[in-house]
Amino acid sequence: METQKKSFLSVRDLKVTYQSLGKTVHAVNGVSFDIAEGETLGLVGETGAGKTSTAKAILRVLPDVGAKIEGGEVFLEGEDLLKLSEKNMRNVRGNMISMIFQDPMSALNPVQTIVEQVAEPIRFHNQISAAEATSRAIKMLETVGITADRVHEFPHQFSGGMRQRAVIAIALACEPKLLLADEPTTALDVTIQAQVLDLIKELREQLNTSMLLITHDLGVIGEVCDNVAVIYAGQVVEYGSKVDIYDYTAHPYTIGLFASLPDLEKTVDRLTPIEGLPPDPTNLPTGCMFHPRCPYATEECRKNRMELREVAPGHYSRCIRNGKEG
Amino acid sequence: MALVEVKNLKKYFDTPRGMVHAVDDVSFKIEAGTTMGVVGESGCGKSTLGRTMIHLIESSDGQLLFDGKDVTSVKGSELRQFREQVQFIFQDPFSSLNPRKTIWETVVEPLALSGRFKKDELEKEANRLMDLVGVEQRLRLSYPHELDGGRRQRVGIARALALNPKFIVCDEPVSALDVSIQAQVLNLLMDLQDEYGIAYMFITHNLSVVRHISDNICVMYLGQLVEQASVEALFANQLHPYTKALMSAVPTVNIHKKRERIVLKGELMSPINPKPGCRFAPRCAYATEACRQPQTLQEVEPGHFVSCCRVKEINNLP
Amino acid sequence: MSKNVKENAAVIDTSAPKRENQILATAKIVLKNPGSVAGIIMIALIIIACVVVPLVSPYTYSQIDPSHALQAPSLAHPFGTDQYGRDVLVRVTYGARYTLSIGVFSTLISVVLGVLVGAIAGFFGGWIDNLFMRVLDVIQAFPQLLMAITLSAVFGTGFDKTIIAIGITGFPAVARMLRANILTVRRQEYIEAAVTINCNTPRIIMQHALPNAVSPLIVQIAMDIARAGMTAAALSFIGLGVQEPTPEWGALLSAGRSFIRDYSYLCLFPGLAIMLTTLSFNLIGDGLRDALDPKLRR
Repeated sequence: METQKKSFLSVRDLKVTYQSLGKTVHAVNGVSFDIAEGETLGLVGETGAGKTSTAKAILRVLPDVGAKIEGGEVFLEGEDLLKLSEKNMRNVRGNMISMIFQDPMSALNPVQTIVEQVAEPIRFHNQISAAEATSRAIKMLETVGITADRVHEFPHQFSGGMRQRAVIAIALACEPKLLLADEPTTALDVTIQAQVLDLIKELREQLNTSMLLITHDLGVIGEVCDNVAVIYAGQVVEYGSKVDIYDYTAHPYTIGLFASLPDLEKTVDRLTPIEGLPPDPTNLPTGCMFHPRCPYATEECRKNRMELREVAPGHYSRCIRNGKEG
Repeated sequence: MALVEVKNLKKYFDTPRGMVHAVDDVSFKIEAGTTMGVVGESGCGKSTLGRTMIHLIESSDGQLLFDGKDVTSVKGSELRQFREQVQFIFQDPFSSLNPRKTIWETVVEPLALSGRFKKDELEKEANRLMDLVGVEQRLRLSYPHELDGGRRQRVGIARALALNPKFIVCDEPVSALDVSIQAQVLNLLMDLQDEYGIAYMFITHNLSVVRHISDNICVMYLGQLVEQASVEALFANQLHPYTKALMSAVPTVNIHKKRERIVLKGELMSPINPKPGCRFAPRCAYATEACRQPQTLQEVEPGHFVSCCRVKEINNLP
Repeated sequence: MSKNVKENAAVIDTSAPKRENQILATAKIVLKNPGSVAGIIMIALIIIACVVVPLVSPYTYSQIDPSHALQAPSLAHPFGTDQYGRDVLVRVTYGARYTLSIGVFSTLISVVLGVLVGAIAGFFGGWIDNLFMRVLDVIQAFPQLLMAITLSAVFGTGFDKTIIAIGITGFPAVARMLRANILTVRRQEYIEAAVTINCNTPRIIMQHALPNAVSPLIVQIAMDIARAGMTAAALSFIGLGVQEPTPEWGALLSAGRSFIRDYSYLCLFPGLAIMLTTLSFNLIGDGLRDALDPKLRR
């Protein structure tokens, strides 16, 4: 996966497991991708595919109990984050990388005003006076569309969209170079989602932030991202530019995802869902992870693990069918 | 004659902060065997409307007709009879099943309560229901938490189908499910409608889903209907400014189509003691003085109803 | 309506096929938890001791022997003797039957009253809830011990009256906890679903609301048994509750208090007995809570 542009974040063969009820949950099974400076990568997949675990592993904020990064490398500007000391990692978090979570309410502290919560990371990372931090925080909040007369309010006084704006302000407070956004608009209504997506796009341009956008919504990905990685059972099954993925869909799983979606613009008689269910992460299938649900599965698919193969320049698919047909 | 008809239905909640107008003067009809999609954003009263229609919540005012009969204030055995003909499918497949009952117990309960079945028939009927919705027999003794979301939703559907209802209110039945599972459940719901002629009221915030499943659509905003039309008419031509904005805001998978996005300013105003006049006006680009007057739903084109006093100017209609 | 209610309230067997006996399944899981196994073993040992020791011991719990007063633990008197020369081992083991049964029976009263009041208040809400909660407020306005003392004074002393007094004192806590749980459960969609399939209210409460609201109570109940035993002890100490020479643990403990500097074993053994019993019930309660949660079952 060599990209033309200099790779800013490079994740190599990341593996994460959890221990749960005496079983090993294989959440992430060798995820690799690159994000160039200023680029947005969309990570799309269904519940339990390992999207959030990937992001948390990059930031090293996996829950302590039972979660383990089994292997892999996460290079940020050439430095492996997984090898940093916890002290240095604390400097990376918030300063270099920050994360936006799905639920804005639980990401905010209910007993602190909005401006205090934005000022805190600014102060922590820049060692400046409280007044200075507050004035920067107010500026940041204005950038995300929260006016100065409301910054001293508490989270419960804000609506859902405003809260998510505040969360974005906190994430961007120290002008991080990489933003991990985990389902940032899923909890919002469509009209509010449109506002927040516009805001994210605008800020990204302004600050030249790289972004990993995690979502299950192919529409949102299509709206915001440059490149797309489709993740299934903890592996990237298809990876490429937005056009590659949307117009020249290669992997049967991605094809199935698109076919499952009802279309806003035309009437389809019947949807063609992917048969079956995602695999049990405590008991992964042999061979290709997708073979039990794949209409094209052959004997070889059942036996051998698949590697990502380049089907067109910069377009990869984890399937033996690649390139054989359209 | 319509199977279900609501006339000027209202549901107000008296809260310490004032009167919440959750559903405010809503009227529409649903024909037997068809689907009425109800679209709106959170807090627009669509769930309350659905619950009011099957007496899960009592309405404050207005009329509810079912099969030509006034069922607005049925009680006792009449209510029980009514409830055997209408059903509800819930949004959250995690909280709509009793976690301490097995799948089998959940499916069999409505059959047993109806008193229509003898013991051996009961078992046969429950098995039939599980087959019908595609829940494997081997899962009958499982507990809900052992099932995935899609299967749980199927169990909820089996429970709703138990007494052969004529009308089912589906409250966001697929929004908690992943897309591939969502498609399976949507197909199931449509197959059941074809086979048994059930009428649905399908409540959702997802416009693609509502287009796929509905025959007619109501668009709600803050407790009121702002636009109502057949699915073809509505998707061909949105007349209300809110519907236009809503439609344009949906991100689609068509990455090449450059769409004119209408980004609304502000957010939903509070449904507590709303002022008279158009409730969308504070966010509407076309709002004028006239919008402060109470609005009525008017038939702008045959079968296409819009509640906007400026609808003709905005859409260049005669 | 009333006819329907009758049909409906009759136990409808919706649970025809069982995958295994629920009690057995629960027991299996409890037995996998080392903590609760330890608890069960300890309680069993205490019960066995309380039956066997008084039978085989040459002494009885009330046999006074001034010539052997205040003897330190020895082979003849493993727990020593008290100021009247009574064998402490026999008194402690004999006392277990009082402390344990006061604990169990008064907790039973608390739970029955508490579940009834809590379920009704929580499920119906409105004025019923208000009325019940204000009554509980009045009861809880008095410190628990004071309340127990007052009730004992009203009912009189003795084993059965103590049970009733402690049971009444304990029920408001159970009722409040259950009410809070019911309030949460009541908002779940499966309760609404039960309404749509024509479940009547008693059945909804019994079949759908209560089973999902009681499991947090289990731990509470286990602790309540211990707490009730403690209250019984406190009552005995001030001359209410169970009367001398009955060797109730609390009474032993408070009698031993005057000698604690020189003859600490007089307090040590009844104290240990109370502590171990409390601990055991808590351990069992924890195990039960896990076992009763179907989400933790595998």
